[in-house]
Amino acid sequence: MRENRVFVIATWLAILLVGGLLISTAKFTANLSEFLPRSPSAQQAVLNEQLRQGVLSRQIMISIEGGDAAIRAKLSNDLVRKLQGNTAFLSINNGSSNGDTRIFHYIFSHRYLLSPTVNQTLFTVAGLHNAIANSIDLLATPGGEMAQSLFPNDPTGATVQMIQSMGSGTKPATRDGVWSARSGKSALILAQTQASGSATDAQQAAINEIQTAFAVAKSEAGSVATNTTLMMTGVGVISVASRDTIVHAAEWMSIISITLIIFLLLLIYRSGIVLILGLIPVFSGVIVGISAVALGFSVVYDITLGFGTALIGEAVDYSIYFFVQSGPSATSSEEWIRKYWPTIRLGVLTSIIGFASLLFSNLPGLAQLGLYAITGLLTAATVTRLVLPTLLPSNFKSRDLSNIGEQLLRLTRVLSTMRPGVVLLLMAASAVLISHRNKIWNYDLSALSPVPAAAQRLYTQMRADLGVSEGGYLVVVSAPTVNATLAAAEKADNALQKLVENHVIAGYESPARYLPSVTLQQERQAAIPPKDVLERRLHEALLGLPVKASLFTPFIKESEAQRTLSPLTLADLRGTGIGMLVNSMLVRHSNGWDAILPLKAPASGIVDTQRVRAGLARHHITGAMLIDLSDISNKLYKNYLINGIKLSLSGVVFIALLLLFALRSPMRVFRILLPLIAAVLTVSAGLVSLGYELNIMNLIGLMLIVAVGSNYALFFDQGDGQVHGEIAPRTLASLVIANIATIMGFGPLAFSGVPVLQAIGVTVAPGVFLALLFSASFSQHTTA
Amino acid sequence: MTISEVLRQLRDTRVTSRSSAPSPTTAPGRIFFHLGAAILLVLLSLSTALTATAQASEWNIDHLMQSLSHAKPGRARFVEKKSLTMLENPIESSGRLLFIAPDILEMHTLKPKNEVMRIQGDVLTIDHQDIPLEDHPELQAFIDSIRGTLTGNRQMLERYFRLSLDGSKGNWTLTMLPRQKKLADLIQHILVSGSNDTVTGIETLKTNRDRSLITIIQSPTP
Repeated sequence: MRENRVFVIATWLAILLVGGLLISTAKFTANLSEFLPRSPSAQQAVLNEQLRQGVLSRQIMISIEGGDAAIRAKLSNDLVRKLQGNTAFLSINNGSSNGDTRIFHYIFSHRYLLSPTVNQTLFTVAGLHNAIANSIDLLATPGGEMAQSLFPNDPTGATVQMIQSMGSGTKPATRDGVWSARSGKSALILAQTQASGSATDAQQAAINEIQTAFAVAKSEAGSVATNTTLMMTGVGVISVASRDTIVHAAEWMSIISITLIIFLLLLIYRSGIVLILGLIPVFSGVIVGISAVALGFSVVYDITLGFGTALIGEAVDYSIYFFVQSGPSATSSEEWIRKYWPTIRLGVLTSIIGFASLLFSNLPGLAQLGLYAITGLLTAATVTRLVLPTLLPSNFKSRDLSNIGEQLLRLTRVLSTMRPGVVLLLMAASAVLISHRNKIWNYDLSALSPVPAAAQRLYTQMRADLGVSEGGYLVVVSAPTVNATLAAAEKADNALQKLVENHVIAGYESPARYLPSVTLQQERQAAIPPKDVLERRLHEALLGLPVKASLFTPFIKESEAQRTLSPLTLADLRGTGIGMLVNSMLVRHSNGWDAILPLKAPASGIVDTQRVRAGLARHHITGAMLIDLSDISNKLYKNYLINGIKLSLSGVVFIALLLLFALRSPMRVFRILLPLIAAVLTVSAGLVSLGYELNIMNLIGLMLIVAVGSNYALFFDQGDGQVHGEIAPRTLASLVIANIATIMGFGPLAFSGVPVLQAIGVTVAPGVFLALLFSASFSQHTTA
Repeated sequence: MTISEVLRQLRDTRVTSRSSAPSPTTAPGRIFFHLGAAILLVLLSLSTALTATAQASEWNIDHLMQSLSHAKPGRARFVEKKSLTMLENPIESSGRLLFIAPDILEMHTLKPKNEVMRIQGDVLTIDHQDIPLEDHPELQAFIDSIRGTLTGNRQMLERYFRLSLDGSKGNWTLTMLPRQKKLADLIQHILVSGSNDTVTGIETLKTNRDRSLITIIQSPTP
């Protein structure tokens, strides 16, 4: 017996030690992509990549508010100057004249390698004649002023054509020479971080750099700047903020829950030793749960930790059952194991079956919660069953709560007269849900976002002010090498150009526009004749045109230079603005490269995807994907929600089957499940009629109601220690205390400020209370 | 780096030439300044042309300005002859002009290329591409001048130009000389000529000796 005890405790401690080690080496992360699919389709992979690593994720939008326009402009310029050389940022821009002209110079100095106007005919006598005549026509118009200064260097008009084909973007307003919000009340700056938006620590560092630079600029500006403030937003900023929010919420909620539960237990047990013993299973569960997640997944989401607080509320039930049900003396623990353990075991099993459905969810966030809950509960129950009895001191004494139980029992008898009321409530809840059937579920991904609505609004507002595109439609082509991918993008360009001409799309971007494939660059170079040939052709071409050949000396010289350049590669562009631009549209993945070509929707705002697909097919572009980003993420989430509903329903079915198998009485199963279903429907109806739309986390909450509530229902049902066919007073007392502890665990989440956690809190806390109430009213009783 | 950002950089850069630059005149900012200035010059002259309805018996700038304050929609045809130093012969373009009170001016070139330029309030549009003028403070001079002309605000016009009127009522010339260095670096003078209440021509001479002569043929207001 003693050896056995040593073995149990040693094993338990060893597991905790290993768990602690696993947790200490685990990677924790908080970003929006945790509710993105784990085994995504090719399209979803692109979306994931964009959200995690893409250009979008690297943007920090900065707003300077307060003061007057002049001081905001000064601070904006100072901030940009301070951060310009900072390695944390790829670029920082406020629209002022400090910006650089490198992109223009890049295009200008490589125009005959980059311009689609360069082909076999452009440098022939006829080609040159036509191009120059055309440029002169352009000079004649007032708009030709732009072409005039370029004319001697580029009479072919390749540069002007390149600039024009880049189209127009939405442009921020300007005040005092710097970008400003449309309201005119803040100065705007756009920064690109070196780190991707999902590298939360690096994003945090970049944010700190901005804050420090602003503080310095502000103090340098003196008293006129005292009223100014700095605001920031962006995927990275939001990730950092939401990590902080979640971590803070998780910390606070844990502290509040634990404090409340400790007070409750102290009040009940009136013993420090019992309290500490009572918390042992919970903390064992938390440690094993987190380490299981760390082991099963490469990273632990912070949201999983937040959920951990809720688990405390449920896992503490087992030790409450143990202490309250087993009564005042140490020797009674064996009796408890004999009398009550089977019921608890069944309760644990139903909970695990409920959570197991989450494991099959392809949202990694939910799968983590499932694994955490299963291992946590299993550990807490096992520790209660095996470790707790061995830890009891030989002179152990705990309070007998029979008296409280007796009083509660009288209350239960009253409750059971209200059975028809519960049935009525069930019907009313069903009616509410049926009448709101189209408004029950929220299919919007943002419902899950840990980002407060105000932060989301700021993000949307600043994006609009800065004219940062929302993603929209993308064409994606892939190939094993950079060069082949660029060649594929060039093929797609031709198809897209046709679509622009037919007004199916308003425009598109392509990495090949700034970096054509080596093959195409060489083709273009081959079209440029050697210097002497070009001079001869130019002379001939100028016949009948009002211009002397001597004007074009720069053109002859630069054509020769570009003819003999070695073709540009991605490596040549490293660290330049053009390189960033190309990299943002050229993404490396395990099997090669993706070229991402964003489409610009026509004035209607809608891209006819069928015509785009047909256009791509006509040009024999196979393997090109057309992606609607805004649609895909919402569709994705909707699928997960529907999938989640199916999984939860199958969880409930499996719970029913398990109970049927264990109890072998359909009537008893029905009596156990009915109060739980009533609780689930009542809570749903309550939330829906308050105008709250349920999201996937509410669904988890509903399942938790069944998982936790089944324990109560089982105790009410079990004939084990029932006196006169009634539940034993001590058992009833333990259920009520466990119920209060659970509410204390989940309730605070409702006030956490993190939507995902809130959803669980508002669902579970009232749900488990109703589950107990309804289970009590359905319990067997002697006629009162 | 987004596409729109690149475009912004392309448009916003007003950096003076660097040693690495292929040509001092190719910096995009300068191009846009030239472009904007040129367009606005034309529009400025037009605003004078289209609103000139002389009513005063005595002929002087004040009276010319006064008559300009009664702005009403106007239409005209134009022919512009440019003599560029880089070209051997002058080149010509032609098209339609339109003024809609209070602040829309449009120049629609039909030959040799179709091109629409329009200023509405603070936004200059060339072939449907907006160039918000508030982003280019140096162009503000032109805008204010146009507004000045349209509203007969002599002070506003004189903030940027020295004005002098020569000739007789039947054959007058309004000479505009830039006051500010930025403009004077670009433009030598603008001559608006007319007869009675009709503007017949606008001549612009730039400091680089490029010359433009716009002939205006008034058409009756529909």
